[in-house]
Amino acid sequence: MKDEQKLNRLLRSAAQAPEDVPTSAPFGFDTRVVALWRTGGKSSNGNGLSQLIRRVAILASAVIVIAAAAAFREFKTEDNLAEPLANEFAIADSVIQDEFSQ
Amino acid sequence: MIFIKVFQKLSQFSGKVPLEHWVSRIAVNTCLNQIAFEKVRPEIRHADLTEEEQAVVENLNTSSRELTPDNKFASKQLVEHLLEALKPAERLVIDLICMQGFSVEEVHQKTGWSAALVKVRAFRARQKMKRLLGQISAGEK
Repeated sequence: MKDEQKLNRLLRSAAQAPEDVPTSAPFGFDTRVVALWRTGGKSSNGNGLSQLIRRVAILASAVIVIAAAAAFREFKTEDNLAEPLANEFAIADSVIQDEFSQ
Repeated sequence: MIFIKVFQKLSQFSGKVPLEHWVSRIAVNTCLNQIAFEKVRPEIRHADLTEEEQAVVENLNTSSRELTPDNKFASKQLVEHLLEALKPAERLVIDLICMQGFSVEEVHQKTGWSAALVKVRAFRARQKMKRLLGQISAGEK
């Protein structure tokens, strides 16, 4: 009997409690989720560390490409410079040989 | 809980499927996990209750007066704990009769169950709830 009274009191009190808030998605929730996803999921690192690393990698790649192009160009110019010099030596050498032969 | 999970696992969303499908899959999995959890631990222990719910139990044990208005929310949560241990049909009957104040006849019209069946289910559900409440009260002592 006492248990019955306790349960009745509990149920009466619970029935007077205000209704729960609706469990549907909050206003604009889906928009925020899609926006967060489109930004690349920054939440995985919190401070955008992955984005910084990505930018540094892109910059480093660009520097490597530019440096390689400059080195190649330099190498080509050295080749062009070396050729006339080689001709000069060849001319001088042939002149000396001619003089000695005479 | 589902919205929190969606935010936590957002990095795992591949974008290959619509967002609605992905969210509904998370919702279904969360519900299945909850059902599995309830099957593993169907009983309610006093230690599992919040401080407010424990205060309600103490109030029920020590006093015969009606619970105060500030205990209403905690008492509703406690009732929900008790309802979780019932079968779905019994839960529905208690919710309709005791929480929403419908009569047996109205429940009969809403559910299609006979009036006798409604009464039997309500009686069994109340017996179970009394037993569970007694267990919780015993755990408090």
